[in-house]
Amino acid sequence: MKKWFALCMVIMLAAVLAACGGKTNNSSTGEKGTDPEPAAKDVEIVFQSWITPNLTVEYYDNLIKKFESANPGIKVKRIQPPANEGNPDSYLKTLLASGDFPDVVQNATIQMFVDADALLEIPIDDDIKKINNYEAEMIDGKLYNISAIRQPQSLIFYNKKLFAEAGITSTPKSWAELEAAAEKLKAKNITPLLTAGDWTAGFTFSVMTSPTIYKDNKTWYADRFDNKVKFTDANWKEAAAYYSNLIEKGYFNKGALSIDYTAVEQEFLKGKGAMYPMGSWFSAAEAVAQKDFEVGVFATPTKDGTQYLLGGENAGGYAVAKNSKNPEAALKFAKFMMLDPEAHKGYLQADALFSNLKEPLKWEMSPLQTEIYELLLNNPPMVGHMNNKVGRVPVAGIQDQYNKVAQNMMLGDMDVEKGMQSLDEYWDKHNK
Amino acid sequence: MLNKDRWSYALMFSPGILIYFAFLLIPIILLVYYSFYNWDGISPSYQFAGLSNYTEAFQDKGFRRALLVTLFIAVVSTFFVNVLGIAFAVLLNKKGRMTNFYRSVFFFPLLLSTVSVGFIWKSILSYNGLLNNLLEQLGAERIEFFGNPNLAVLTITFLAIWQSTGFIIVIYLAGLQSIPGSLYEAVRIDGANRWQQFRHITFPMLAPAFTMSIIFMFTGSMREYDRVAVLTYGGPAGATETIAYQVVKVGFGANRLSYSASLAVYMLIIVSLLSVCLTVYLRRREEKLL
Repeated sequence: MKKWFALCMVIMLAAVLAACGGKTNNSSTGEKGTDPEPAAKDVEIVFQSWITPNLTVEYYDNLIKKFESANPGIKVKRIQPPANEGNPDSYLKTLLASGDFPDVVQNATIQMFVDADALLEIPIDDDIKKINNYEAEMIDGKLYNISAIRQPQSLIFYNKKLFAEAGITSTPKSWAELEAAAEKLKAKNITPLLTAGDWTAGFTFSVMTSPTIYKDNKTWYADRFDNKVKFTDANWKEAAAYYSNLIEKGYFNKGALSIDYTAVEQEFLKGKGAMYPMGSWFSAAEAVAQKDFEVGVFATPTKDGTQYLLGGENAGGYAVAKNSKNPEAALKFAKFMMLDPEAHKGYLQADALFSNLKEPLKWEMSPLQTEIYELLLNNPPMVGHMNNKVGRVPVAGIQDQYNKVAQNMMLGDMDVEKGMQSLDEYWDKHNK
Repeated sequence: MLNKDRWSYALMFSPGILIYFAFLLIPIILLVYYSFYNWDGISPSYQFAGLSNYTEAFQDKGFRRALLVTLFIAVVSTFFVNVLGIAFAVLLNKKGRMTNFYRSVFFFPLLLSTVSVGFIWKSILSYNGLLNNLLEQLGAERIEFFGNPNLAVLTITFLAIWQSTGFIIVIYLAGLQSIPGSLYEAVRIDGANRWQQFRHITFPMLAPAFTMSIIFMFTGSMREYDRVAVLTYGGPAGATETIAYQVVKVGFGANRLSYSASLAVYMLIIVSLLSVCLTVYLRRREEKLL
């Protein structure tokens, strides 16, 4: 019996280990040539799509249909992460580990997959040169993603009716003007600013402070890696103190830490607060909301009143796997999804984005979206903030520390100095 | 004939062993292996890091706080779930027209996924939720269930108790139904009142169910993740982060898979040690009582 048991255990172990070994990627093991070459007609590429309330399954399936009929011989198999976790990175990490990395990926953190040597360098050809400022997303002088969109994030949406009630006639441009407007609103018993307790807390803190820092240093994160700057520098501490002061004066909504992003959006749309710092994607929800007031928008004020919007400049988009068996077909599909005029326009409209082509495409915008578009016209190329690129992508997970700092300030548990010091400590600990 | 039997045995236990190897033993071995490296979970190469992840975790204030939060949730919820479980099981063990209905009502929360339950309670307890709207209409102050660090931990604990009680009731009900009625008859003849019957017959005879419920509840609560992820995202300011939540956040959010593996190994050791101690103690208690 013992022998039988031992034999079975060995077979089991072998079977499990074989299963854990997963698929080996032919191209990386040099066995590519041994596979029978598929006929040109039979090429199939796997595309990881990014599903959101705005970018639906139908949206992708329609585009895939158009691409397949325009490119007979290329079939696209669409896959998607099982859950929306903010980005598809965890899902893609699993696929990479199992040797099933898709041919085309969307909305991934590009730097992370470049570091993992998983992405193909995109050749700078005439198609890419149609993109305005395409160099913005290059890593070490190489392009790995195809994106031609602008997504401003440091915006403050405001309730025009409540502003009029408080006698505010022009939108604030500087910190002092914002504080004055908040004081007027509070005097009228109107909640001046709205935020929430999840990622929104860190986001609000970041968009209301970072523009003042990054307008003067557009490579701040790269400089932080080189230890040339710190979160405890005077300019950051001053910006954080300004934000902390807004909290101390009671300008933010009571109970903010007990609601989330979805709830705070509804609070603003119900007229329960005058100003709502949020990214341009809010305009898609505003366009379809039932309300009895108009919404306007302005760039989050800077210390001296100079407008500098932060956000995504050709960020995200589509990237191609380095080990794709069909890189040409994959690249063709990635270009189609972002640069085909019809697809490009559809993408912008679905997700309330703005074209960053040298000849930008306009779509049917709501009045609020037109206001955002006009703000962008007067803005130099944007850099990111929080967990996005400012010269370089910051250390992974820094957004969580921004959330903690902002939430601690709202709890009144942390002074500004300690908060900014905790960001430096997080950076140093995770910069490995 | 003997050979045939051996093949049959082998075939019968093979699926169990295969599952055990694939989903438990090998992942645990890999977990321990990675905890000694500095892998970010994605890079093609990584280096041996010795015990550095373990020493770092030992000094990590966030990890220590998460450990305390996890232990608080586990101990408090295990205590209350068992107290309530026994009380309701005794009440539901009586025959009555509505007994089956009440049993279903108490068991119902367990049928819902933790994530769905989280969203339902979120809509009730958030600052602009149903309960706070009601409180405001009654002239009371709104309560920050998720915005106050201590209250947020208590809220998570309360929801763990609410959702798990039904399951524990079922275990105790099964235990109660195995107690011979003759024992009650005997003590009734001796003049024992209801409390004395419970103290000297019901509670001691429930010892095996008690052991099982305590171990189930304690080990389950030590892995608290879903409710935190849905209700508070670990906030406010990290106050409700549990070890399981930190393992996921550090491993996949901060891309420190090896470090999160060391946190998971700590959790494995702590849960295993506490579970073994509890089991040994409760089994001895059973032997004394039965």
